[in-house]
Order: sequence, then C-alpha cells, then structure tokens
Amino acid sequence: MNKKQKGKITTALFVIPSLFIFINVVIIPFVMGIVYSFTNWDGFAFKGSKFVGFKNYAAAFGDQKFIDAFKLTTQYTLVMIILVNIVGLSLALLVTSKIKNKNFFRGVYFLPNLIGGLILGFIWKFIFTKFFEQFGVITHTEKIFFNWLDEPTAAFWALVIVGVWQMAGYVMVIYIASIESISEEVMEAASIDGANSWTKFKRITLPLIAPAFTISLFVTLSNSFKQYDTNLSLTNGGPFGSTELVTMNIFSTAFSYNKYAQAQAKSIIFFLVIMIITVIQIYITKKREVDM
Amino acid sequence: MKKSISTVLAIVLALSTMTGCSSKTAVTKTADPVKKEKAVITVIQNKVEIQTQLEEAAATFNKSQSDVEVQILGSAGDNLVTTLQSQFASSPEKAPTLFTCGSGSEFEKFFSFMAPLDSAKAAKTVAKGQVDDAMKDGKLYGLPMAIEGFGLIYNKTMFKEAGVDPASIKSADDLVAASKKLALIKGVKSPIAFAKETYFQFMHPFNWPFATMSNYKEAIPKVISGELKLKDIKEVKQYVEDLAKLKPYTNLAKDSYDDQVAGFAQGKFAMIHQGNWAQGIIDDYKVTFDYGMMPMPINGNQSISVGNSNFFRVNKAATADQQAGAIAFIDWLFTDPAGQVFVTEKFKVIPAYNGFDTSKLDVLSQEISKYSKEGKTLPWTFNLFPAGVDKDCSSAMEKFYAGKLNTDQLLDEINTVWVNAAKK
Repeated sequence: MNKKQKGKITTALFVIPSLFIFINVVIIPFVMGIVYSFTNWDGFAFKGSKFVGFKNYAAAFGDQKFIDAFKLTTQYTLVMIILVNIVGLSLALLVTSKIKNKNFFRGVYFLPNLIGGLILGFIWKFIFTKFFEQFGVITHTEKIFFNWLDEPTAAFWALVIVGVWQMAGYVMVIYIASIESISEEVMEAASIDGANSWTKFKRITLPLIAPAFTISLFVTLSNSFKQYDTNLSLTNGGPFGSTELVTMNIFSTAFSYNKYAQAQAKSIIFFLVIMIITVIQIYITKKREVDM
Repeated sequence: MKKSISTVLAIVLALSTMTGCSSKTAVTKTADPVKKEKAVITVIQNKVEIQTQLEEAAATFNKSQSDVEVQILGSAGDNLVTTLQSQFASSPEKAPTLFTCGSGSEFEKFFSFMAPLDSAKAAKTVAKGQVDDAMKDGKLYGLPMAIEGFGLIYNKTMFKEAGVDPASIKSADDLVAASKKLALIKGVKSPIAFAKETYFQFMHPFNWPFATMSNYKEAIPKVISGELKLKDIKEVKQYVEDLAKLKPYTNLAKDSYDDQVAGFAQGKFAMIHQGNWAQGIIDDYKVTFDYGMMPMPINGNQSISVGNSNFFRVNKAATADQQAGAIAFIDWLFTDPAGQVFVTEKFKVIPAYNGFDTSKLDVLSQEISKYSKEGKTLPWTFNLFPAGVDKDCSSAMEKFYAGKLNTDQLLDEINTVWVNAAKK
C-alpha cells in the first residue's frame, strides 16, 4: 500500500460515517419531501397516494394566509437583519474597547442565546402581558405600557425585541473574533496619521470585518426566516392571527388542517425563497470583502 | 506516524457509530422474550390531569393479574394527535396499543387503525347515547373515558347578594339584566368570563347554537360544503347577536384558562363558561362560596352540554394478545369495582358507564349528573366542525371581541375558515 492509497482510505474513514448520516437525515427526507409535494399524501403511509402535479403549489399560492405570513416574515427578517447586526456590532465594539470586566460583559450579552427560544418566549410573554400592564398602571403610562401582545403592531415589535435580544449575542461573538484579528499596527499607524476614532472605524474596522458581515447577515437572515419557537411561545400567531410567520403557517397546514402534501409544497417554496435570497446576499457581501 | 494515528482514530470513530446501532438491537432482543410471556400493552392519552392517577391504576392492574403488563406512556396533552400521527405513519404495530382519540374528524383520521370493541364487557354497561359517535357500520370502535359537561359555572353566593335568581334566567336578555346587577358587586371585574384557549373561546361556546337545533347533523356538513351560509342559520345568527349583547359584560375572552378559573375562585368573575374539568383548580383555591352550573340561556335552552371528547381506542395493528390485553384493562377499569374506584375517586371524572357509585363525586360533576338524570342535556356538536378550525376561528373571535368585526362579518369569517379547511 503506498502513501496515496493510505491517504485515500483515511479520508474515506473520516467521510463515510458523516456522509451516511447526512444522506439519511438530510438528503433522503429532502427528496421525499419534494416527491410528497406533488402527490395527495395524507400523512400516513405513502402507498396509495396519487400524483397530482402542481395542484398543491397552486393551492399554496392561492392561500391568502400563506401569502400574508410570507409578507410578514419578510418584514420581520428585514427588521431583524438591521437591528440584530447594529446591536451585535455595537456590543462587540463595546466589549473590545478598553473597558473593565469585558469578559463578564461578553458572557452576559451572550447568555440569552443559550436559553432556548421557547423558554425565552414564555419569559417575555409574562413581561409583555403582566409586567407591562402593571407598570403602565402604576406609572400612568398606559399609552406605552399596555399588554403588547394584544395589539397587532405591538405584538410584531415584541417578536422583534425578543428576537434581537436572543440573536444579538451570537453575532456579537462573530464580530468580536473579527475585530480582535485586526492588527494593532494598522490602528497605530492610523492614529499617528491623525485619524480620529470615527475615521478609524469607518476606514479600517468596517472594511476589515467584512467577512464577519457575510456570516452574520447570513445567520440572521436564515434564522429570522425560520423563526418558529419564539413565535409559538410568545404570540402563538395572535392577536387574531396577525403575527403568524411562515413556519407556523406550514405547521398548522400540516398538523391541524391535515393537508400534509400542501404543507410540503409550502415548505419547498419556502426553501427556494430562502435559498435564492441567501445566495444573492452572500454573493453581494463576498464581493465587498477585502484581503489583508 | 501522524497518518497512522489518524487512521486509528477514524476507525475508532467509525466503530463507535456501529456500536451505537448494535447495542440498540441488543436491547430489543432482550425485551422480546418478556413479551411472549406477558402481553405488554402501551397506553397513551391526552388528559394531563389524570396522568399520575392512571399510572397508579395501571400498577394496581398489573399486580392483580399475570397476563397483561400495562405501560402508561407520557401524557401527550394537546399534542396527542400529532404524536399519534407520526407514530402511526412510521410503524402502526409499534404505536401505542391503547390510545385516546376524539370523535368526528379525529375518528375519521385514525379510523383505519382502530379495532372493533364490541366484545368488551364495558361496551355493555356504557350509558345510553354515549357511544353513538364511536359507531361505524354497526360496530363499536371506541369506549368513552368519561362524560363531561359544560355550561356557565356561577357563584351562588354572589347571585344571592345581587338578588338574582339563577332559575329566572331564561334568555340572553335575562342574562344581560343579571350581569348588570352582578357587575355592581364589589370586586367583580366582569360578570361573565370566557377563557382564551381555542376550545374555550370558540369550540365550546359555539356548541350552543348547533346543539339547540334539531337538524345540526345535516346543517354543519352543508355549511362546510358551501351550500349553506352560517349567517342564514337562524339559531347561529341569533346566538351571535346575543353574544354581541353580552360582550360588554364579559372579560372579552382575554384570560387564559388558569386565570379565568382562578378569577372565578377569587371573586373577579361571577360566571365562567367552563366545564366540570375546572373543579381541580377551584379546589386548589379552597373557595368559601357556593357554586353550581347553569345552562347558557340561548334559544330558550335549559340544558347543559354533555358529551365525551375522548374514547379509548385499540390499535388494530397490535398483536391479538395485545388487543385482548388492552380490552381486559378497559374492562377492569370500568366494570371491576377495584378499577371503578380509580375512575370516580382518583380521576374524579363522571363515569360514562352504568353500575358506578356516583355519590362521592365533586360539586360540578354532581351538577352534571343532576342535569343528565333530568334529561336536560345537549350533545357536543363541535366534533363535526372541520378539523383544525379552532385556531383560526378563535382569531376571528378575538377580532369580534376587539370590535373589529360585527356579527355578520364574524360569521362570514368563520364560514370562510370552515370552507377552506375542508378543501383538499
């Protein structure tokens, strides 16, 4: 056995177990999902299902609630991308500056990300309903502090607040890693040249952390699109179905209305949309990255 | 050197995934011989409140005989349908032997997995009318767990204080008049309270108009198929108009079930639209006042809604031994005195079978027994509503309570949800 063959065997040994798992839990279900979406599958055995062409897709596009949920999810994602990255980047700048206890702050800001979205939702539900109401009554600010989950616009922003609170810590870590990798020399040279801190941020930090933007934008984009757990525990689609995101719509199509094939079709549409948007996003942000 | 280390590591890694698989098969192999001696049956049900009591009952049953071993699986709660769906979809023979499932659309959905139960002893003692929903082609496919009833649970002490005689409330207008008086009592936030959970907000309250109709079994399918509009049904239209009159005196269905019942126990609400299942929470608060249950006075109605949401079903795909074991367990629970004690005293439910000692039932259950003995009961009709409409219809109700929909718009919206839900 020569060296080359040995290398190939080693590679195979590393790859095969994970490839096996990947094919089983990702590729096969995915292909099955595509097949299901063209049939009248009822959620039980696939045997006996008939091929119905694009009927499920037509039904999905004809479902006003699905379209509304899609619009709302897009809005939610846009707001989330902007806010999560602004907050995350600000926190990263804060904890990489020369303040005391920065490791402690890093831990604190990252903490919400370690709590599951479901639990977060329940905690915040209490805050938005019980605490806000009481606080509003006590301080006579009922106009701002009422039951936020009772009013569609406020409930949407409640979702955003909880989402930002949860996700900002995660992108902060990405930004920290990137900011810390900027070499001191560049910064020092800029200082000697007389650049103030805003110019240094704009001209040096921002361009050099462009790769972190690519990752952070991608993470927030796909996570916000796929948001489900916080949506479920915080608003459960309410008030009057006004905060139902796409994933929740798909779930209820399948599990409450028993339209499994149509739900599959909706998931495929959803997948295609996320894929196209993220590919475009990555293509654009990649172009802006600079090499040192 | 480095290469060989990595090769070894890779082999170890590969082997470790294999061992994961092999140890699993070993476990099932050891479990098999046990199965042959004793029929192991698994039970899943959705009533969280009786879960531990049911486990006790199973333990007692297991000790009493040596043929069947009953294992109670974790309670699935509201997710039972989803859980069953995935289990039956993957391998029906491994799904629970005994499971609970409702009537109407849920019955249709899981029908192909149900074994007939006509041979069960309990089938002979079941109360009249309680298995109609579980019959198909002359065969019985489910045995009810318990009967339950809902109506307006009211605070008798408070009614006396306000000078309202509950027997005099015969129409929605009477109810409004009574609410006006009750609202004046100190501490009362709203005279009537609904809970915001989808079943309590929409399904149960909307049982009244259909249940008071004589031909709801024809009317509901017609609405679903689009032949008939909800707002053209006189009773439904009238009910929603009545609800609009009552609206100012309700909590606008903003409280969760727990808060609603707790609010009743604390005197914030004089009446709550609930069923006998609320007894547990009321007991937790050790209330000092008298309370009872009265009908929703709609369409001249003087009855409360009594039915059963849950039937025990036996998995058709299970082995013959398992099926027999499951029936034996149900029979023991509902016909053997040792099992009956669990039903009335531990589960604290109203048995749907004859031959029970009902003297030890709690307040609300006794009220329901009283109404059913007098024959003043209405059926549960919401099982005929299309599957899955509860959430979207509750959204419509929320809009109605928030003043965004008038009565006609509310009915239109519910109508649309129903028709869409039935579209394939």
